[in-house]
Amino acid sequence: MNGLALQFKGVSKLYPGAADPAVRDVSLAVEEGSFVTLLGTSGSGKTTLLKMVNRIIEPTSGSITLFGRDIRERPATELRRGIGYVIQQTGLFPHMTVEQNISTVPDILGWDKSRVSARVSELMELVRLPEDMRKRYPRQLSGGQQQRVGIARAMAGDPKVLLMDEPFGALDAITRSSLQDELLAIQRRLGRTVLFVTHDVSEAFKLGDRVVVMNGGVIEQAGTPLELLTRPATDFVRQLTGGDDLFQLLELLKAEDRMLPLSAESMLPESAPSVQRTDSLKSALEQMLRHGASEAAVVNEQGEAVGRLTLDRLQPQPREGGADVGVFAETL
Amino acid sequence: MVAEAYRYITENRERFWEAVQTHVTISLYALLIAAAICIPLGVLCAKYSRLTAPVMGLFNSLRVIPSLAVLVILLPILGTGFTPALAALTLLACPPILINTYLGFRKVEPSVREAASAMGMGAGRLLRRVELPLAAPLMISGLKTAAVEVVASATLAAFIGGGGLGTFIINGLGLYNFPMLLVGALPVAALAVLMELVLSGLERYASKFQRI
Repeated sequence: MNGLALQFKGVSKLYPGAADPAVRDVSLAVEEGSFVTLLGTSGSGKTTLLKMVNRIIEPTSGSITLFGRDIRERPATELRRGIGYVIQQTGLFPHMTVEQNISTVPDILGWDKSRVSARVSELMELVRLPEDMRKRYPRQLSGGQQQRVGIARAMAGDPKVLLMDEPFGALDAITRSSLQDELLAIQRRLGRTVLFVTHDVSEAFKLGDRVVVMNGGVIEQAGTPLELLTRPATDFVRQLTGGDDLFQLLELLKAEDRMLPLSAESMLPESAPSVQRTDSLKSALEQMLRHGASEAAVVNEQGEAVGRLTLDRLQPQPREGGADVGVFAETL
Repeated sequence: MVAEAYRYITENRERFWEAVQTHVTISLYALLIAAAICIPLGVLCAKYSRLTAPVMGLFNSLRVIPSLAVLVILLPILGTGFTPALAALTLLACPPILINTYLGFRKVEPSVREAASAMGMGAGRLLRRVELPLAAPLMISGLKTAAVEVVASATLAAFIGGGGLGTFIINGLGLYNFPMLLVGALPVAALAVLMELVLSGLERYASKFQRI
């Protein structure tokens, strides 16, 4: 069991002059190493909640602890150097090169030149920016490249927690999807805690180990994507996840959510396509249809088979209560 | 006529150089004092919107008063000579520096500022590393406007005994001596062009990141 990275206790925020609080009495625990997405429409309070973590916004009441320490214990500047921050508009410094942008926090922390330079190379490789972009200015880069710089800059000081406010919101669908995949891979590899705000349901479900659905300043439901789909706590959550829309469900569920364990007697035929365990059931179905197969192998990041999927497993399962939930709860 | 002016200069070399020196000194002092007052004031106006209207209004209304009138108004208070001329030129230099500093700081994207403080930059570092460099092109452009105006207007200093190249112009006009007038006018024009060139170069350097 991991420790807690973040804990919100009865946090509220009332903006001066506003009739209703933007965030109302929110309590939430975020485990270390988890990827939590905050999902909601604009005005749901998700961004306010995020920005209270690095004290860009101060809560009206309640407390927030970061690894057990109240965030108000330290000066805001010191706290922020240990928390990565990525926003939709990137907020890159237009007068600084890619290299200078990425080394912002190391510079503040006073690292020596060679260490900063090595760190920049390491990060550019991590976010897959070619080394020859080091001396470019942000406006010479595409939107996707700019956000890669944004992510690299946020991770430069090796923060344990990353806050991301709709970082991929302004990107085209293809770029967004590949950045999502890379972010997931980076997070899996480095084990950082990520708090990620989005209004895009499929993004929230694709990225989050846990999805926190917010509406009107309160949490409607917090749980794994599977829990939200199979046991929506409120009508709002049910509506958000698409109700009985089968295609929506297939898109939101991952291969690993429905896969069967591998066993000796259930050898997969050679012709079976393979899908990543984090791929959606929709893309698994697509693969099966394309290959005319009724089964697919589920593989992990290293390409090793970890389970199998059959067409039967893609059938809609009873949403609430039913025996089926128990079945795949076991396989999780 | 230009040849005659040149002869006048060679014959009165000492007087000429003294006038150039006074002219340049009074212009630079006026610019430095105006920058020292108006850059911080412009930054404050950009940060606290309550200050904007009164401060901008004050300096803009001062600008409407012709420089010569300012000189005359200051005459009973500061007397004649270098000081009242410097005060009038400083007032003249203020509006473009103030307004462009304000605009330069207002132009910094809120998201850039937010990202900078979210990275853990304190106010001082934010100012030095982010806001100033981003506002610099506009600020230098304001300084350039002020410099050209001040160098040209410094000729008026001669009216109240402040010295400078204006002395030749006034004497030339009074004596219908056009070569003498040119002895004042040509170097003033050259100085103004020089200021323009130097500051334009600086402006180009500071705005490199916007043009690549």
